[in-house]
Amino acid sequence: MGKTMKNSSLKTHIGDIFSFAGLLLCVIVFSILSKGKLWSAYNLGVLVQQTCVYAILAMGAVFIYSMGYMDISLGAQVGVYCLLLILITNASGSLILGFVSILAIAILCGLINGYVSVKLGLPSIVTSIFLNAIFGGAQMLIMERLGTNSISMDQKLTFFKQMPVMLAAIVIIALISVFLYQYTQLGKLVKGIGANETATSISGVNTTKWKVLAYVFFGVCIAVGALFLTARTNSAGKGTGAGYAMDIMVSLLLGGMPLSGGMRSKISAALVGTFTYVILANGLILSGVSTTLIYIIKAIVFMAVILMTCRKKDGVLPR
Amino acid sequence: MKKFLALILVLLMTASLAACGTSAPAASNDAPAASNDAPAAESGVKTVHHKIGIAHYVDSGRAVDAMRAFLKGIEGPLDVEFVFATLSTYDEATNLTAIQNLISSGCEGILMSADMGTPAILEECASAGVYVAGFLCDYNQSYWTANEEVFGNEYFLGTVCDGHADISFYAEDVAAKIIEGGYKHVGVVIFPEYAYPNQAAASKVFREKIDAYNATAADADKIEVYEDQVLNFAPLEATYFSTYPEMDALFSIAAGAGMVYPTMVASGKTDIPLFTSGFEATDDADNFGSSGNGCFKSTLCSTPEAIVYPLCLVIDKLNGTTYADLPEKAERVDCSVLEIMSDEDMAKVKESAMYYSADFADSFLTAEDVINLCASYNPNATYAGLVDAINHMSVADLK
Amino acid sequence: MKNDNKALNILRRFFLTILFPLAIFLVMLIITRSKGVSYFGFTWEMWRTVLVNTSSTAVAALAIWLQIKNGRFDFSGGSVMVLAAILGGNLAIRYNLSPVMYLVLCVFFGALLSTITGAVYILGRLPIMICTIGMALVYESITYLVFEAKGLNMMSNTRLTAFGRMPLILVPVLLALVIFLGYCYLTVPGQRAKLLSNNQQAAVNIGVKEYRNVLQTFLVCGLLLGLAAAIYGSNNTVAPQAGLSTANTLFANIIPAYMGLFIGALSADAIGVLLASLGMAILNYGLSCIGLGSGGWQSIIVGIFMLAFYTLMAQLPLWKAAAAKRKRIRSEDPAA
Repeated sequence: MGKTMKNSSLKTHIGDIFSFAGLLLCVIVFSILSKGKLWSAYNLGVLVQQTCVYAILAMGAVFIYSMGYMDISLGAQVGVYCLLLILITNASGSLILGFVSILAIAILCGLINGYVSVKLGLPSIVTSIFLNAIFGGAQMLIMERLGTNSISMDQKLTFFKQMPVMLAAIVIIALISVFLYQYTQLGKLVKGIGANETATSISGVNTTKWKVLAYVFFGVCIAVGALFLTARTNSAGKGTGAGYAMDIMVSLLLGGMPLSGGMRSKISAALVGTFTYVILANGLILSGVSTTLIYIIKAIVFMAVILMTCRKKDGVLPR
Repeated sequence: MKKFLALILVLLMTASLAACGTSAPAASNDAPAASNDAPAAESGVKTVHHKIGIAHYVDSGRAVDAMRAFLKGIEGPLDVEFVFATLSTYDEATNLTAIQNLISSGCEGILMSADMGTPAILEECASAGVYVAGFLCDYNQSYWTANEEVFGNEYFLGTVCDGHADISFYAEDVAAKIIEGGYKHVGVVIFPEYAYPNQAAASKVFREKIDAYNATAADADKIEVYEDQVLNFAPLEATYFSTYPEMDALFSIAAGAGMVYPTMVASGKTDIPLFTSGFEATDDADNFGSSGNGCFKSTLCSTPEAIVYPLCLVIDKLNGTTYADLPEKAERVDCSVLEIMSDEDMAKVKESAMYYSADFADSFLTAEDVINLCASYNPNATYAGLVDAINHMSVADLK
Repeated sequence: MKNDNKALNILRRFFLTILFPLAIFLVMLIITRSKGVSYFGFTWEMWRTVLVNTSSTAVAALAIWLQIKNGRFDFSGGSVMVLAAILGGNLAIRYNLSPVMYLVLCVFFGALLSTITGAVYILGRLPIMICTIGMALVYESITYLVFEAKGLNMMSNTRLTAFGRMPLILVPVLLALVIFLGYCYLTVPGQRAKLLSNNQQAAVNIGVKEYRNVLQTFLVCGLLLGLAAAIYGSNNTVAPQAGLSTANTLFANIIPAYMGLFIGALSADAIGVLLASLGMAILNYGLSCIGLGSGGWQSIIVGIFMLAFYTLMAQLPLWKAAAAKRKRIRSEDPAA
């Protein structure tokens, strides 16, 4: 009995093990190839800095992807929030006011995002395309109006650029996410919605409410991510956030997150995935691989990881 | 079973990666070692090995091929190892990440062709002790909004523009061509003034020149210039040609081959002569003057060899040597342009410009020339000499 | 009497189907006229641009829609299209082939690449979105490895790009419609695909060979993507792609695909997709007439427009239900 239990738990966790193994393998391979440069104090700082924003965004995104939903408006949202953060902070002189404003907007957008996708009964990717168009447009419009390619903040956000602060941010958001995910209704229900929305709904759960809440938490993560992103360069422009939606999606997959959501979703996917993603990009350059080969290597690594973590054993083809 | 297969795939990939990864630097380590003696034998110079990052905003196309061919041609004799990365012209954080990765990979100096997030990048480079210089970029954003922070920074060594910072000369030449060609209704296309103030300025010069002509011309010969069409970094729209159905010549100061020409093709308007900038050596070469559909009448680009300006500055800084006449504050300098105004110019460029052939043999500068431009390898080298060298790379200078 | 009704019914369906592009056209006509733009509406220039845009959107949207309709979301579509265009176009240029051969090559490569994706999906047993994201990354990286990373530059080759311009562009559109409608409504595999999308497990249980059917659908989808590639390569300078940017090329065409479902409710979904593409092309052209063709406002207007469209459409079943209820109550009333 005990043995079968152990076996089955091994089976359920094999995906986790493989995605951790993927990260470990990346670390080992690049430690060798980069001749130890991966571990230089400077590079470690760089890795934390580069991972921080991705990790925060990805942890928020886990709640969305757990429901089997998808979001491609992430990048445009990040872009607009970064711009607004800078504009409001510059105008008022108060970073707190700036951050609270974008937090409020992000939560509001989370409400709308969740509510709209529920009410319209459309695939979430489609509603996120609308949002992407609207936010992308707003970002362009702000820059067109300002008549510049890049704006910078008057006060320097050096505090948020320090490695301990960034690490702390990752840890705090991770703790909150894990708490919400493991110990509150929210986590259980988003997984439930992802696994079988109808069943969850029929069992008396107001799915709309929880979907909206998931989007709200996602919004909070986007706002925090935007703060740390702005701190990195102290500036933002019309391309800020571009490509983040896809980066996050790929990171989550590398971390072993099933895009269809459900019970196998986990916060660790966000952390493992983003670290793998960043180390992959960083390590390939450190190893002196030519830029054109980097793309194909990333693609092969991605295929290998998903073949190990996402493969479905039997039955009909997975959707 | 399949998991094992995947595992084997990864291992295989890792092994091949290991092979690539270790063989590539090894090869480049060998090459300078061997060539180290060569220049020493020729010119009695002992070069010092450096690793320099090239962060460019594009990673494919003719201009990139030419630049890489040039760098490949000089890396051995100059004893420099180049590491490449791709920048964004829109996103600061992407650029900072790219530069951080280059610093981590051991680059002592970095040449950049995009000006987004430069203050943050310089802060990063200063703390890492890495020098930065620009190429193919006029650093307008920094020049006007963060001049002291960037050009006054001891880790920023200067930049060479993509040709001339002020392109009024080209506007005048095109105006002359328009007058000479007898065109009557001319459109002007530019990028937004905040990003490319030189294009708006060139448009002004163009208009002045045409106005001067109109002042003396007979009424029937007067030229009408339509108001500037500003492209928000998106291609020209087909409706532009419907708005100005009489247009018989188009001066696109904004990169014409990429932003304007496709719309002309789609609208069947390739019979309108296009005077533009940003030579891409593709459609614009095939349809220039009397060849192809003949849509392109003039074009403009700078040469990849101009990268020696930031390169020499970085090498000298790393070697702790400076030109006697080096200005105190980092400069933004012009370099020669390939101004292609006629079939003969185009033929010459196609035949002997490295920009077109991507063949190091066609370069304006040999590896030895480059070594001799560095103060650390040639005591007689001067800053004026360096600036002079990058200003002798025009169509007239082609062999 | 009965015949009359049928004719009337067809007429009603026809009118409701073309209502969407017609309404957009009229609204944009009024707006542009009030702004003093005279060339919107009845000029050849306008319709050439609109029809070319419609065609390129519609063919791509049909390819996406075929997969969505069968319950699969294909992220690799954009990359298949881009890579097929680069391969087909460069070969056509290198060996001086005819435009027909260019079209054939694009379709061949589209079908080949798409079938490979399907095969990886089946053999890898990966969730479809994850698998197609992976394949999209692979195909994108190949664009850097073929033809010296030069992409494709044949836009101004008037001979080769004949199928990318009016009037011959209608050939790939027609082919795409025929392939789509033929496959979905007339062939056995098409019907089986429908079974699979409705209830995968049940379909497999009653004996539908899922693997074979998936491969067939990917093959057909590849044919459509190949046609889209032929148009795309003719109208764009194609640069090598990275970072899933091809997925955005795909998303750009996804809206008409979903709209088609509503607009084509009274005819066929493929017709709906075509008309939705037409409507969007007219909208975009109109916006560009009044100087909002690109930049922030265009994006915002299109975003809000789509949102409004879907909000309305989402109410449709509710209205229908309400109407049915009213009818029921009314019919029950006399009895009471």
